Amino acid sequence: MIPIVAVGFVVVMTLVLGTTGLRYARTTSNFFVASRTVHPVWNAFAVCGEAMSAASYLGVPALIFVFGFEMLWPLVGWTIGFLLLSLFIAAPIRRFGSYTIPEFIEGRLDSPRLRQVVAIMVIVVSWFFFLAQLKGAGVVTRALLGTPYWVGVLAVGALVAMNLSAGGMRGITFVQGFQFFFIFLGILIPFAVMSTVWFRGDLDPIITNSAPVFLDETAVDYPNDVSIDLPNATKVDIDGSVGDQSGLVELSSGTHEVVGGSTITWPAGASAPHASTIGALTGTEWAQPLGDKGVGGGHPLYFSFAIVLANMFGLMGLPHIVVRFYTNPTGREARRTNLIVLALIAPYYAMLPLFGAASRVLSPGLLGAGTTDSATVSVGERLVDGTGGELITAVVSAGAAAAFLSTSSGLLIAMAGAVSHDLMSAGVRQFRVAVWLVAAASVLVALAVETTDINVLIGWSTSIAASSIAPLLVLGIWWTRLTSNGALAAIVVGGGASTAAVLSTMLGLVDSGWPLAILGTPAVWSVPLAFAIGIVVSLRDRETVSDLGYKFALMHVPDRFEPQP
Amino acid sequence: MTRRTSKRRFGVSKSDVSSEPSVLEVLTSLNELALAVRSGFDQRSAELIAKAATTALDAQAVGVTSDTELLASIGIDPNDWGSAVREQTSAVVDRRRVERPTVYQLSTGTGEAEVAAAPILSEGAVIGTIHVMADIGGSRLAELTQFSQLVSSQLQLAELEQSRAYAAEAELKALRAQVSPHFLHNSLTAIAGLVNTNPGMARDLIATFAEFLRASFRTQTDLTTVAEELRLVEAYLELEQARFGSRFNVSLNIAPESLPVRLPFLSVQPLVENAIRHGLESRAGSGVLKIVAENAGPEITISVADDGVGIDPVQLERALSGGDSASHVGILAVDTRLRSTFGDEYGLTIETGRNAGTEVTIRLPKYHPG
Repeated sequence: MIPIVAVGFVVVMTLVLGTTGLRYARTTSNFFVASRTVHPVWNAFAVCGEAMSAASYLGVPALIFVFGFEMLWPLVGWTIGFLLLSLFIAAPIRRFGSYTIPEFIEGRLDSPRLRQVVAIMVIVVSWFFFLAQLKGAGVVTRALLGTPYWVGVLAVGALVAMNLSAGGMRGITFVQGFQFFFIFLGILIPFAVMSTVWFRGDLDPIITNSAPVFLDETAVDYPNDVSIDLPNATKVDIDGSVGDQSGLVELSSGTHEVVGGSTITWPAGASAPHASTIGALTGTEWAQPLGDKGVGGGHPLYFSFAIVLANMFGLMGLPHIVVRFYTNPTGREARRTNLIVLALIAPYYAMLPLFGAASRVLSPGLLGAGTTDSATVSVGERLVDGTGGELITAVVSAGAAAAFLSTSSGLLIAMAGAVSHDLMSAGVRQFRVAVWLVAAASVLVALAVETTDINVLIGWSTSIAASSIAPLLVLGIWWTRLTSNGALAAIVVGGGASTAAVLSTMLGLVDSGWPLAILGTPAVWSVPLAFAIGIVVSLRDRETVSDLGYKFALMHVPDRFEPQP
Repeated sequence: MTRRTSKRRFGVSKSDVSSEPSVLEVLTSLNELALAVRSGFDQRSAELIAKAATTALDAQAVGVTSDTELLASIGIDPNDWGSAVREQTSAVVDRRRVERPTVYQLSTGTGEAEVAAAPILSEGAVIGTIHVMADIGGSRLAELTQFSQLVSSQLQLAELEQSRAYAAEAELKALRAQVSPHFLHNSLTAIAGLVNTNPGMARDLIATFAEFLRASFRTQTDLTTVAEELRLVEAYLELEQARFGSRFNVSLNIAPESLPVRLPFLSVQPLVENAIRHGLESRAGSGVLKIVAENAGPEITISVADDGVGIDPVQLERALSGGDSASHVGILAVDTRLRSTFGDEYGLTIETGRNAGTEVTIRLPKYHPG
């Protein structure tokens, strides 16, 4: 009950603050306060609210839970990404004055056609990211209310769209700032409790030489059909059916088909079954970096580089993050904001892995149920009994809700803006229609990705962003010779190749070895490819960009000098 | 004769096919020319005129001059034009009204050639000439005349655009001037009334007044940010409230996302002034002035609303179409300048009715190139 109230509170706060806004003054003497620009610290809160998404909150602990230390790389990549954003993107793009990435590209390269191409890439990138948020919404709602997956997806999709079309962007900087606190506390409080419990030695060590076992008698829900590998014959109580068995039976070792909707009660001390798609790992295997765990087609070194590259460049090219710097009055403030973001987000990223690690001891049942994405929200009830556990679940769930609500809003704004503003150059009414259209299309597809891990979706999104938008931003800001043809070639070849690679794994055309490594995580080759194509085509292009000196002065000259054209 | 030419021009005659420019080429070069000339007559547009003349008139060589010197040459070396071109240019310039192009002989390194020269006119004056080296004969001179007139009319268009920009600028200046008389008088009277009773407040108001004047006299750029514009509104309101006392309250709701957005200078203040002058001033009892700036994705909206007497829609319509220009000039000017800055879709909207208050809303894009 308490978790539901907490999530409800976050939702209501989001709606109320978003619709009313906060800056309000009754007399002229408050005028100054009401029209003061947002302080970089609060702006940083808002950026964090936007950047801390279901991908990190739910996705990363799930990955670490299943695959181990290898999956620390996405966090490293994102942190580097924020640093690169501070160093190379935030200040110049703010000084340039553009709001969206397509606008920047059009302004920088004088090409309205390119703006449309970039807008399409913005939609593709944001769309995969949005699917991941909706997936997170479905998972959290299911873990909290026991509703089917589609309820959460539909509810959150509709909620966010309704909020935005009813004017919920009015106070978005405030809303996202508040959401940041929920997200951060949602991780900090359980982290503190978990650390205390482990330091006092009340729980088993995480890294042992055996595969995960159930500590107590545990009832595990299996929402979907899943085939599980059971290492030892185990006496269980099945509410539902496994193959044609049900009730109190002894399941033999080997593979079993669990029918969706079943609940199986596992005895204390039993080895936890794994879903057949997941390899069972002992603690030591799990804790070994670059181990052979079947990750990335069994080429862990390649995979590690690919993940870091995709995430660091991908983060630089995420449209909903880049637009946030617009709220800063100057380039210098944009850079300060981003440095504060780095200081806030690094500890957040550092706390997340413990959730994945602890889940191996606390909730190994999820490994067999195909619901590892709910690892973060399951920690509380497993860690502490009774009201204490419920309180922890409440803060974690509220944080999760804040995480996917804020990011979903940002992504939906980015996509609807790209459709109505960049593709159609229409106004506010069309923007609202676009919000609903994009939300509807995303919800429909999100219903179909129930069994796809959140971070697989995020991985695709960042790979595509890293190979299309990021090279364009870096070259556009730092290289005078970039031409619109070069940029077009880079985005078409880089974005096209990475999208094709992603689709080929999405459709299951490759499933193992080098082909999976190369196509599943394409950033190692697709990012340099995009840069190379952009540079070569620009150098061979005789076309020039107008007012180049002015544009570069605008981006790079310190704010106190105002360059004139 | 005309028929023969058109035959040649469209490449029907087989013998000429290879050397004749296609219709597409001619149209393309004329289009480039039209665009280039829009920015005025200079070195760059002279080059494009020469290029277009070469294609369109099928000439061996073309030279384009200003009223004194050669700006561009295609087909032969610029030096080959020699002093003849200058003499012929000044001859054309002196003749002022030119019916037909002048024809003269030019001796180049390879021999004698026939050249026709036609003027480029701007507002009746010759500002340049086009010299075409080709087989003069038949309709060629008429073609050259047409071509030079085309160039001239494009230049005329460019000037028209320029003067439209000047007009907008003048309008801005007029708007500034128009803010002042009422307002200057009212403010000063209000301050004068306070000098004895409340000298401290009078001093503060004079400071505010000075700041308002400084802000409204700025000339650097036409664009400002919403934050700056609101500061101007603040100063304005303080002065108005000194006069009105508590006759109206102000309610503000400003989304911080809107503050860095750029807009034409003096876009909000006239709306506020309009709300006070035509809405709240005539109202019985105290009213409320509401200023709201909202974030709407790639755009923002700013609305200024009052619960005053409202405006009769019919009368407003007449005022906005220019019939009754005295009363709502401020709003009209804001509308014009928003449209000319951001495009026609960014005009302002007014919701009003008799005794129903007035709400004026403007939309602004967060980014506008240029």
